[in-house]
Amino acid sequence: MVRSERLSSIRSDAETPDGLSLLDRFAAALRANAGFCHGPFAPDAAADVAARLAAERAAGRPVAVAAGDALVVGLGIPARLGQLGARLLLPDDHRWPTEIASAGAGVTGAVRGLAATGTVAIACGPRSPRSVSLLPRAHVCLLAATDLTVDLSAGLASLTALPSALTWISGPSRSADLEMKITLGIHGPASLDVVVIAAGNSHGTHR
Amino acid sequence: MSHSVLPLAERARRAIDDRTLQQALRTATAELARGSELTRGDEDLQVARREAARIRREVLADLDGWLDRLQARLESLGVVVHRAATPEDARRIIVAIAAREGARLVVKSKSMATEEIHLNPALAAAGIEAVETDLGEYIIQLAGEAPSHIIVPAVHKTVPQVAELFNTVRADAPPLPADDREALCAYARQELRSKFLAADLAVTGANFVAADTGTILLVSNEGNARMCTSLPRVHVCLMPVEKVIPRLADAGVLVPLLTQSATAQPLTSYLSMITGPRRPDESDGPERMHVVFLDHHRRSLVGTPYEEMLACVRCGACLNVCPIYRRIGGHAYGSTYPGPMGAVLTPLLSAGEEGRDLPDASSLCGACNDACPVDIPLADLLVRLRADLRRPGPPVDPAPAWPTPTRPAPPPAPWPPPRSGRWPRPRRLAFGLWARLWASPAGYRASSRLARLGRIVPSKAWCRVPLISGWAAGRDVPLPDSRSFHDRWAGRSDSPW
Repeated sequence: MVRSERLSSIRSDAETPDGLSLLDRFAAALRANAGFCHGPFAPDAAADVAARLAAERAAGRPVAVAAGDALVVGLGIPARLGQLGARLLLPDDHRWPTEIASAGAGVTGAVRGLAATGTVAIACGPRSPRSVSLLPRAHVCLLAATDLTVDLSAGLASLTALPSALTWISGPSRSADLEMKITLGIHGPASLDVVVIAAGNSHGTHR
Repeated sequence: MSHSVLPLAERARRAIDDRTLQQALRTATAELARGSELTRGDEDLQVARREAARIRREVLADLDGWLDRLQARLESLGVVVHRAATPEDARRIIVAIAAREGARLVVKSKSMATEEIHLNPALAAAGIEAVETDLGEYIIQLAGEAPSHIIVPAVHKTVPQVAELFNTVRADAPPLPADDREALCAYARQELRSKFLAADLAVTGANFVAADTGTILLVSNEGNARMCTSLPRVHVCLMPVEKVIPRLADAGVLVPLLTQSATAQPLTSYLSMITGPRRPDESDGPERMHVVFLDHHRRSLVGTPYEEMLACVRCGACLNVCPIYRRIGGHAYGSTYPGPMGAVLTPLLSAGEEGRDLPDASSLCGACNDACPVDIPLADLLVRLRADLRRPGPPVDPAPAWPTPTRPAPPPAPWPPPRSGRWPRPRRLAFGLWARLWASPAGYRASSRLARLGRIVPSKAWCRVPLISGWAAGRDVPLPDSRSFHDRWAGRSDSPW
C-alpha cells in the first residue's frame, strides 16, 4: 500500500507535505466538522480547560467521566470537576444507569487523533463505558499531541490492541435527512470539544 | 408496494409529474454528487480508488475462503455466526434469535440489507416491534414507505411533509410547526432515545467486516449505529457476504473513500469498530452478538462477468450522477436498491425474478462508471443484462449449495467478453453496409445529407413510422439540424458557433 506507507512514515511532530503541522491540520479539520479544538496546553492547564468546559456545557446537569481512562485519571479530572461544583457521575456510581441518559457532558481521553480528518479515537474499557461519549449532550475529549497521526491508515497501523468498541469521532452528531440541511445533536452529543495536551510531557506515552 | 405493479414507464411518468419530488431530487442529488466529483479531482483519492478497487477484487478472488476465515475469527471472539442462503433463511434466523432472547422491542440502525430481506414485517408478524432509528428511515417507517435513496432514504420528503407526519402520530400533543427543522429533530431525538433505552435487541447492517480481526465497521453521522451497538443487550449484524474485507488495515483506504463518495465527508461523524461483545469488566455494550452472512445469489455471481457488482460499497454515487435516477427518484424503480447499482443488482439478487425491466432504465451515458469509487463498469453490466434477460430465466446459473469447501479461485472472466457473432444474417449485413458507407468521407456526407431530408416530416409523424414507432414510444424523436457539423465548421468565423 504505497499511500499509507508514505503517510505513516511521517512522525507525529513533523510537518506534513502541505507545510502545516499535524496539530494545525487537526484543528482546521475539526473546525470544518463543527467541532472545537482548544490548545495545545501544558498538562495542568489542559486539565483545567477540560474541566471548566465540561462544567459549563453541562449547565448544572451531571458530568459523566470515563474513570478508567489514563489521561482523564492522570490529569485528575474528577477532582477538578468536584472543585468547580459540577455534579460528578462516575461509571461505578449506583446513579449511573438512571442519570447517564440525561447527563449534560461526558469527559473522555482519546487513544489517537487523526490530523487529516479532525478525528479522535475513543476506546471503551473497564470504567470507560461506551456511553460517556454518546449519551450526554456535550462531549469533551482530552488528546495528547503525541498521539496525533496523519490519517486513518496511519492511526490503525499504530494501534497495538483492539478494544471491543473503538469509535472514531470526527465532530458532533449530525443529520442531513431533512431537505439536506445539517442539524446537530440528533442522537449523540450536539457539541465536541477537543482539548490538546502539548507534546513534551509524559502523558502522551501512556499507551 | 402496489406502486411496483405498474409498468416501469408509468411509474417513471408519475414521478416526473410529482413537482415536490422533482424539487427534492434536484437539491439532494446535486448536493450529493459533489462528493464523487471531489474523488475524481483529488490525486490522493485517485490512489485510494485504485487501491480500493484492488482490495475489493482480492476479496472476490476467494470469497468463500475469506468468509471461512472471518467465521473462525468471529467465533473465537464469542460471536455466533449464521449462514443464510436466502432472505427467508435470514428472516427466520433473526426472528428466532429475537424470540429466544424474549425481545419485545428491536431498534434498527439504517441497513439496506435488512430492507433487502424485508425484515420488519417478519418481526411484526412475530409480535416484535421494530423501530428504525436513522432519522430518514424513521420518517419513512412512520409514513409506511420504502427508502428512495440508499444514503438519504427520505430524500423525497419536505420539512412540512415531515411535520405533518409527526403531528399525525402525536395527535394529542400541541402540533409541531411546519417549518422548524430543529423542533422536528428534537422530537425525533426524544422519541428514539426512549426506544434505545428500552430496546432488548439491535439489528444493524455492516459497511465492512474485517476477516483478520473479526471487526464490524459501521459509519454513521447521527450516532444511531453507536446507540444500537452500545445499549441493547443483544446485537445482531446482518452482513451480505461481499462486505468481508481481508484486513482491518484496509479500512484506512475503503472507509474514507466510502464517506467521500457518499456524502463528500472525509470521514463521517462516527466510525464504529466493534470487535466482539462486551468484555467481562465492561459495563455497557451487547452481552451477546450474532453475525448473519447473507448470500441471496451473491455467491453465484463469482466467476461471472457480474462479479464486478460484488465490489460495490453502497456509497450511492452512481445514483446521484444518473440522469434517470435524478429525474424519477428511487421509488419508481420499485426495488430495494435504485439507480444504476440497483438496476444491475435487483435482477441478479433475485435470479431474474424481479426487476427484469430495470436495466432498460438507463441512457447508458456512463456517468455511473465514472462516479463509481471502485471502478465497477455499471453501464457495461447494464448492457450485458439487457442481453441476458432477453431469454427467460435467471441471468446466471445458481451457485452450489452452501457451505462449500474452499476451492481455488476461478480464472478471471475476459473483459470485454469475446464477440460471439450470433447476430442474425440480415442484421450483420445491415451493419456491414453501414460500416462500409461511413468508412469513406463521401459516404458519410451523403448519409448525413439524406438524414437531413428527414426534417420535412414533423417529429410527431415519425412516431407513427413502423420500425421507429417502437423506439419512439418512450422518447422524443430528434430532428437533424439544417446544417451539418461539417458545414458549420467550414463556415466558422472566429467564434465557431
